[in-house]
Amino acid sequence: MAANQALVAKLYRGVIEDVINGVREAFLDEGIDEAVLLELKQNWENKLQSSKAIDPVTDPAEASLQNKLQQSQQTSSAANATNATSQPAASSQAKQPATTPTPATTTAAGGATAAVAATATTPAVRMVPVQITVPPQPGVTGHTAAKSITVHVPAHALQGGAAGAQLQTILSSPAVTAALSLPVEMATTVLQQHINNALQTTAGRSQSRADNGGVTQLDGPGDSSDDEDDVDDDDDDDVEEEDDHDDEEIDADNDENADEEPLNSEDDVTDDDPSVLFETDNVVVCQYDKITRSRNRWKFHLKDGIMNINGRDYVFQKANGDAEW
Amino acid sequence: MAYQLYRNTTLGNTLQETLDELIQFGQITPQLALKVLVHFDRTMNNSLALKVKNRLTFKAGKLNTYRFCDNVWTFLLSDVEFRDVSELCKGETVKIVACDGKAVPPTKDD
Repeated sequence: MAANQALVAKLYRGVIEDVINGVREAFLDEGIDEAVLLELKQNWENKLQSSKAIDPVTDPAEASLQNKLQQSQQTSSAANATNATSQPAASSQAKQPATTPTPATTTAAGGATAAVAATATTPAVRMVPVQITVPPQPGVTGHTAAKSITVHVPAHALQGGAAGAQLQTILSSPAVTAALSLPVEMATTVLQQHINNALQTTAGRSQSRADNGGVTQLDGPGDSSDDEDDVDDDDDDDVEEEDDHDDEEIDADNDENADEEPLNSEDDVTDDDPSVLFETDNVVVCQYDKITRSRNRWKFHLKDGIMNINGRDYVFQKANGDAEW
Repeated sequence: MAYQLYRNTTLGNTLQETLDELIQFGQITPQLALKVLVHFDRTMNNSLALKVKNRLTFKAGKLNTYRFCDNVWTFLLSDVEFRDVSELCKGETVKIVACDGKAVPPTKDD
């Protein structure tokens, strides 16, 4: 509405002139220098100019861009409020693909050092002590009593799924079986080394999950058992299995619903809060001739209005409109 | 007495900001600032009544909320299209604040 904007600019100039001239006498009466009045005029005009309300809308694309900017500004305050809560939920969901079982590949020894470094230098990776009890082996000298070897494995390896299966595979490999017959200290070292090497493919995963552990989880009870209940003790094996089972269920759920809005996005919150309800940047200030309603159909007969729509000002002598409630 | 509601427009707000600054720097008194605003009210009411001659129509997708209080209507509309002859402008949400147009005939003596 370029014509209207030219009208607005002209009208505003007239009003400014009129006001300045009209109050000149009042300024003189109070003994205030004319320069102050001119400063008032200058500053007023400058502020009006920088408001961009009377800048012509040059092209429709820009107008729609303006429109979008406006919208994003409007929603930004609401978004800020929800950001804090939706962020952890979103990030935990983003991590979900990492927990989906990946083919457990036994990579070459070349990559092994990297894995060891990762587990060694990243305290964020939660290592869980696992006690392996070796029954007495009568055939082997000096090993008449049961002995227990404690190794540390990443917590996620104790979960079900590929990682758990992988750990099982590792522990039943001939190298490990052989190592079990060594003296406790040596067996521990060898086993640890072996596990570290074999699990290196999952080190990255556990690291990314561990990062997530630093964020307060607000989307309900834990969707991963990484951070708790991972003591592989015979006593609470049942409990653990149950836990793991639940966790897997939740994981599966999340995977299914990965496309949906994360929890706490507040997409279900209606904007019925009256204080927020009348908040908008597009404002029409006017007078009414007649407001009528039949059933839910409203008709507006307005006059002498100034509108600010998408940052631009418009004026009207009369405006008629309708809307349904 | 003219309506003060036009103070809540771009022109009115920028004037008030300017006056506030002058008051803060001690260049004018609040009383003088008020005189300026009263003058602005009168000028704005008259200018709109006498100098603006255009008509426009609008259509809203929905009237979300209405309120009638102290003779002032407040509406919140969504998906509003304003038409000025052939030109169009749209607003996602629009608030209309309207005073009674019959209660105060604009003063012609300015």
